[in-house]
Amino acid sequence: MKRLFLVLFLVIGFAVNGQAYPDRPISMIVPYNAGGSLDSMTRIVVEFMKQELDVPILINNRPGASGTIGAEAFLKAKDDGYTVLVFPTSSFITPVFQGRKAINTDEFKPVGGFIKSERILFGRTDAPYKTFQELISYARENPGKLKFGSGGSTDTAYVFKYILQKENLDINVTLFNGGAPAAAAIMGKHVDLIEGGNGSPGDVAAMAGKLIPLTILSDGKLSKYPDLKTPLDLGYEYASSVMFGFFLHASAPAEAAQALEKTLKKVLQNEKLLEKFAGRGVTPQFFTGDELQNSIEAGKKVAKLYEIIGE
Amino acid sequence: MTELLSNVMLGMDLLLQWEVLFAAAGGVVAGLMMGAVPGLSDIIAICLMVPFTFYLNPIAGIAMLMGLSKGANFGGAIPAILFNIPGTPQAVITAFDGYPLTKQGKAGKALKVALFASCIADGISDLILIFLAAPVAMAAIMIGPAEHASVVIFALVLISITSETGPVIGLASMLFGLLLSSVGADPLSGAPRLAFGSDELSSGINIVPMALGFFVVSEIIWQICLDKKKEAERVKLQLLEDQIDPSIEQKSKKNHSLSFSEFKRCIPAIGRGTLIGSSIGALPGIGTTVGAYLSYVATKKASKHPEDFGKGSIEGIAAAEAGNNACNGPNLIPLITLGIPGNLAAALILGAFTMQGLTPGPMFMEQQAPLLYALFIVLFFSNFFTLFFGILYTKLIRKMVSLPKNYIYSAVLVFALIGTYIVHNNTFELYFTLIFSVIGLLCRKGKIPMIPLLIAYILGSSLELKIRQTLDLHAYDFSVFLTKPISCVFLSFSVVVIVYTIYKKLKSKATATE
Repeated sequence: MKRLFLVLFLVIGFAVNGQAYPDRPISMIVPYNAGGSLDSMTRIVVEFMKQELDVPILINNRPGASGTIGAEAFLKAKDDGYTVLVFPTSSFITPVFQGRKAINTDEFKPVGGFIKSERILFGRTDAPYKTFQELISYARENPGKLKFGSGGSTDTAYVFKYILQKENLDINVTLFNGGAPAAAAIMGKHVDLIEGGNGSPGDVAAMAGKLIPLTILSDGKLSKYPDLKTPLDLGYEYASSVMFGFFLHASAPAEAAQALEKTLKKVLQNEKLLEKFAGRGVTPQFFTGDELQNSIEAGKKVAKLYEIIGE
Repeated sequence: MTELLSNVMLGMDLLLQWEVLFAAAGGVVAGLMMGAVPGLSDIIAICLMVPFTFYLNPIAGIAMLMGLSKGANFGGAIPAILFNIPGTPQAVITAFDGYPLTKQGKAGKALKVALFASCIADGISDLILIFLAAPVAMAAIMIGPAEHASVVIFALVLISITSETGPVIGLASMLFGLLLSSVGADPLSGAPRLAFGSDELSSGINIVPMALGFFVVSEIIWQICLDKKKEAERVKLQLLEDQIDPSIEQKSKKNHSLSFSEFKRCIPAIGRGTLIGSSIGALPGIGTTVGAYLSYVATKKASKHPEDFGKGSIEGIAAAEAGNNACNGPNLIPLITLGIPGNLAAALILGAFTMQGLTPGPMFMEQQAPLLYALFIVLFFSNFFTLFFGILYTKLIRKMVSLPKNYIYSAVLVFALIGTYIVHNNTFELYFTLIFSVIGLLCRKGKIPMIPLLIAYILGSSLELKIRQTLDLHAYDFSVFLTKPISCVFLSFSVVVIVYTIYKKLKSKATATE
């Protein structure tokens, strides 16, 4: 009887302290290729979280179908809080732009974000326009002359198309399969405008004075380009939003989400972690589960542009 | 020039992590061993190793593949010289003179000539790469979507039309490859097509399972089928081996060593081979076998003893090996500056680059210079590894090549399937490997060239992407491909190549009927 009480006491004690989680290895699904940028950034954060949580975290790369395969593999796993998904919020809406079934975001519980990426519109230094307003008036006077290439972000390309529609401009739009080909195209004067992420090759060129940043196309400001406004500030209702974060099943235990969020917040203040991110062009930062949810909602709003503008 | 120097210095820093050097050396050794086994070409070696390199850091992974390619390239010459069984397709030319020397009991001499010629030519070609990559990359920025599409078309036409089974089947094989490449995601929007509602197919057929099934598994099955027929031949080979080993080997050491005057005689052949091989290597799609062949023919024409060629001329071996190994360095120029692979080995390395999150192209050279120069330096130093391990290895070689094939085949099969699985931890891709091994077998049975199919498969989605980008940017006006000068030049080249091939075919038919 004494022993039973002791056991009960221990169980309750652990539950109250929230120390029961994690008591065994955590599996983390990364829906992109090993060695890619999301994968390598995740691995840095995970390395520090491992030490903090004192359990192994096993990374499982499940790439394919723009992240959908990984997300589905995650949903099929047990909802006990020991399977975590790493996902960029923009990937929830990618299937919509591909004419596929949207991912049901209600099945995911946002735990916390670690990177927010901004998308920037860049122009050439030899162009007659140096600001966003000048670009708009130049494009209005020269319909069909300008060429725009997206650096791989479909949702941002739709935000740009929306601006064109609203301002009634005629600019040729295409998509490049990543920031590097887009940057090469604008440096070689094959296009006039590109859209690229913070830290992408286009951004690196802009910081070296080889391209001009014209405006931000996502929903956050950037301290290195203080003059640039977001589309929301400029009066357009849509802005893309990309945040990399951790997710659990919606039905996962709350203590697991809290423990992970707390650990993520702690490791993102670690100087050594920040050092490892130096030179990657992006700075990791802690975002709460609610902020991660807001990024999803902003993305879902942009997804409506697929209906408004069409392919 | 100072920029080049500082980049080389930065590259050195990255390189001097022992992991990278170790990976390159390991690649060379593995390449030597696999290249030396008949039936396991450099391509198979790369296919097998690509999945494992993802567990290394990007430089080490790529360095390993490049070491592998170098090792296998020389390794292929070993059985070509010893048994007249080329380990790799390009070693066929080496066998012309290598095997006669073996019959004369001078195998050691032949192997040494091959080794020195390979390493010298390869080393010089790597220096050409180091000095030319940056200027070419600067020029490569002129290649926009329209020009890119035309260069790819030119490369595909060249690869298909020069295939050994004739231009028509070559082109058909290439078109089938293009068709396969359109399965999966639409390269522009990412929307799934020809995916039959399957999420796994919606991102396309991955290159690793495809290449492993198509080339490696089918090759193993093919070899097993062939082996029954070859039983008799193998017995003969065994006899020959016994015949050479004890009797002649002890007779005179001189026959196996290479004197300085002999080496001096080979220098012009090596120089010519390096020049020809490097030029061929820089063009997309022609390949190392052509480099070896042209170099051999040119050396034969220039030689004072053309009558010795084919009967055991060391100059012939030097020319062939220099010609094929000199393709290695410049082959990477179109790969790194444009993202267009020059041959199959480069195409597989391109796959490895992209899976490591690195995108070759004009910006790659500008923004990843230290990383690239680290690779280039590894390439250059790998030649010393090849030289060192090559000398050791040729001493052990006879035992290795006569290793029972059932062990080799089953080991390769196991590694091919493990390799398929570990890239994405996805059992679905094992089915791809099996399906493509059947397609590969059908190709072998029907004598359909496999290289145009695979290269077209690899380049297909980028070709479509570039064409559609061009049209998007020019309001769907097709004439842009002809009004842009660089694009027009490459399209005209493609037409000229096709017309010339047809003309030559008709002419040879006409003379045949006369």
